[in-house]
Amino acid sequence: MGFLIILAFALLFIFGFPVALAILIPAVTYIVFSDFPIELISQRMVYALDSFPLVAVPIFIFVGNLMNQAGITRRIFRFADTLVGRTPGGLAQVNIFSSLIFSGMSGAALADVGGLGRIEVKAMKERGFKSDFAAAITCASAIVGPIFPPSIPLIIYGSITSVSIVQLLLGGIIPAIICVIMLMITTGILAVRRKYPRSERWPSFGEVLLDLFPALPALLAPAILVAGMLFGFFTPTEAASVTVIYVLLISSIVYRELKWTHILYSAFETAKSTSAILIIVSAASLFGWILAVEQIPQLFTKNLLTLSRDPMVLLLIANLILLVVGMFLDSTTATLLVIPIIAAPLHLAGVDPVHLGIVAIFNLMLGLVTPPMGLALFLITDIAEVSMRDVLRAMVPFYIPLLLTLILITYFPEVVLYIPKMIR
Amino acid sequence: MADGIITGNEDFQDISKYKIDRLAEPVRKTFRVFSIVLLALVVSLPGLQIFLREVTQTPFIGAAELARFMLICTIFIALPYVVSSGANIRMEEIQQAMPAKVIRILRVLVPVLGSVIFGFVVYSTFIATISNLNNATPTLGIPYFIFFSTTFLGCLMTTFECAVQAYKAITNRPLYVKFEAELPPDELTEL
Repeated sequence: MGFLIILAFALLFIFGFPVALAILIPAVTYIVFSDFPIELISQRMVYALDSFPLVAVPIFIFVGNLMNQAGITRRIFRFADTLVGRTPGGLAQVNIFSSLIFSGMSGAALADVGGLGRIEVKAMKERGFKSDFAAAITCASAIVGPIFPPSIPLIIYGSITSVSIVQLLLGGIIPAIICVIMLMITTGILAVRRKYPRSERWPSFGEVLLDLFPALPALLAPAILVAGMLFGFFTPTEAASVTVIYVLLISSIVYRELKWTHILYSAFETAKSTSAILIIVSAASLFGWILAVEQIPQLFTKNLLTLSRDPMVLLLIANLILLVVGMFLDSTTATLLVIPIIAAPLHLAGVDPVHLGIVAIFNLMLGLVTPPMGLALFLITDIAEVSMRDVLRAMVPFYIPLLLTLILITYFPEVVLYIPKMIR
Repeated sequence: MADGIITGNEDFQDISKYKIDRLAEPVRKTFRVFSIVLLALVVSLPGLQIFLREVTQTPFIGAAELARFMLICTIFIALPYVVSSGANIRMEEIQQAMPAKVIRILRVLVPVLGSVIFGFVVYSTFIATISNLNNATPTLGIPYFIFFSTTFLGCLMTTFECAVQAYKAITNRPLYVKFEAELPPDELTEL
């Protein structure tokens, strides 16, 4: 019966049913035709959302929307341009560097592509970069966001697996920086070979200071966030609230560009996105409960552990499963439906849950930039006005640093666990 | 438009175009505005908690529980808005590549099944509320009939929205609605 439910979900998903509905149709049907009480449906759905860490999700979505509306994104990009625009690759490097700074406040890859990406692609095209390359580098660099604190996928991961969200957020810092460095090296090599344009001269100290000042409030946000969590001043959810207050203050008092229409628009977008994402969390809780009743996770654990008990082999298998799943499912659905099943045998084999969390989320994020269901790819083809085929061709060199980062964080757990161990 | 089927951007229309949307708009607006008010509370409560704890040294007992409750309310009250505006997360790409006949069937089938499933959720919420009339949340003591009220109302309105979409799909009209506040204000994309 459990496999039938999974099959039903997969079919409905492929036929284009909304994800929440594709989950709920087999789950509700199962409850209705079984001996379980009907109130179980609403109770499971509501209690899945009764989680304080999940409160951070709408707040960080709101931050991302506000940043794009209030001109903060623009200032981040200008500062990054001054600082790294002269390096080989020019604006392509700026694109990567800006994504790292942006992700320090937002935590969502698609907010990066949809907000910052518009500015980056437009500027790169104006300076003579090809649209497909601009689109590819925007997608590749957006992958960094979901593993750098704050991260909405990591918050969801932590809330469903009961792993410390603070440790997960801190664990993503070094992998994100490594990924950015690898992407910058790749871009540098491509830039030299393809003779991409860059700034004519290095900036003077005064010029750096001039552009640093307007971007400083945005640059300080991730520092406040990480320091606050590292030293135990506030929880990730409280940190999210602090970030929103901070963004509202700097954009209304310092930048003076934020209007009520921007706040209202951001609020409507946030309400819509929050409900669209978290209703899947709610539905997946019912689905997960049914799978547990049908003993699917136990069956998977038993079979997987008969193959091997070596954590490295199991991590390889988990990575392969997640890569395939990430190519077809969106990251939230994949996190909610697949992680609870694959996490158990890996924990039993001794894989650190924080390590697994970072590996899993980074892996699933690769699905945003791989066909056939790469959401970031769909978004960027619209923004950059290029064909999917052209973006995919331009993406090929960037898959190398992304996969290298995945291998590195998989087989060198210390890369992930170095900072979290400081607070253990 | 593929073979007479309305898809993509053409599937959106202004709220004033059809009578059913004009009639539903006051209720939709109430839900939208209510969801924004709830969202404002979700966003501000953790900040208020820090302020009271760290600055005035007067901890807000139950703030976390209230924030969680507000989050649940926001999600379910905004759900009809998600459905009516077509903001559901889904993978339409494979569907778009299917034969026109299949797309036409799915365009009706999705909202019809949505209506039935959310109808069951509404019924389930009603039964859960009736069974817990004397219970309340642990810290703030929020009665369960209040705790489940937004789930009930949100899912009831979602059932209605799915039914409206089913009707529109049968009559081959655009499924989704857009209203003024959804249009982005002056975009700040210049360097």
